[in-house]
Amino acid sequence: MSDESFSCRQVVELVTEYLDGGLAADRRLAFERHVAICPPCRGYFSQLRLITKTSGTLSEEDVPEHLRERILAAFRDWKAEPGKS
Amino acid sequence: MKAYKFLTHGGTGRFSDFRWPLPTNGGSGDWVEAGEALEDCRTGVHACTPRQMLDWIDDELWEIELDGEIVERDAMIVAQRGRLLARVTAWDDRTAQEFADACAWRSREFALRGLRRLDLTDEAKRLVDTAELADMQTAAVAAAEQSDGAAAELSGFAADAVSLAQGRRPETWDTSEHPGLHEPAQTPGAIAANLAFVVAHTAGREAVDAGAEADYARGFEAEREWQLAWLTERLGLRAG
Repeated sequence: MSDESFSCRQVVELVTEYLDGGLAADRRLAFERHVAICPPCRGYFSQLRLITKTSGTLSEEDVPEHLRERILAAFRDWKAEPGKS
Repeated sequence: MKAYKFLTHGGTGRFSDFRWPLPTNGGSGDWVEAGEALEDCRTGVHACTPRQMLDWIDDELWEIELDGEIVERDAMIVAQRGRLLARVTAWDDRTAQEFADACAWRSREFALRGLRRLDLTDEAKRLVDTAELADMQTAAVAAAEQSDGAAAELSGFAADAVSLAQGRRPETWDTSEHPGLHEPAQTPGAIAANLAFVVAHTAGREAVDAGAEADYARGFEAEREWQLAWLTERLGLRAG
């Protein structure tokens, strides 16, 4: 078992992969060990999991028209800005 | 096999978000089956021995019975099935806060050692004479400002530890300078888990100051042993 330890930044970067079950066993352990001792990361992790769980129950029709337009506009602007990836 | 399991308030797994069936009428909770091949941090009922507890501190502590295939790892135990037996009632929010406070007081010891190595006896005495955490923080801030090197660092850590014990950010020593700052609510369990880890690292830093770079891990582990002894004695468990 690896003794790898994670920083808060790594937890933020890897939380989606963790929730999707994509992390290898030693990295999952490092992720959980960090979240267990870091109150801000505990909060972040719980929020992301709730968002993932809740959004997973939504269909396209559940998103109000005005909100859909705003989201699509945000993505269009984001893609249009040069130098940003 | 009997082991222990930390859960969030309401008997829910921190990582699985699984709501455990709780014991009722003095009996055990229902068995929970993992169902598939065991895999660390993914599939299986995860629990710990008292010796492994410090890494997993949370709001509630439960005795759990494990059965079927059981794999014992350095950091945890993973089993095919498990059921909650009883809550360890000695571990509650109050005990968690007491543990956090005890860790904060330990950070004073490391600051004192640093100050004494520089013969800063007045600063050390002012730090020793404090009986409340708030006063200790004030003395530690003053000591950090009057010293340098490791002594300043360790005194700063002691001041940080008091903020952390109160669920605030480490840099918020002077609350009057941050009147509008409201931290997200942290449970005492979260505060305890965090502060114990931070103070163990402070112990590692102090060990380096007293000896050599290689002593960091020794200092860290020694502090974890102290914390484990505090917990097991307070909760009436055997460290094993």
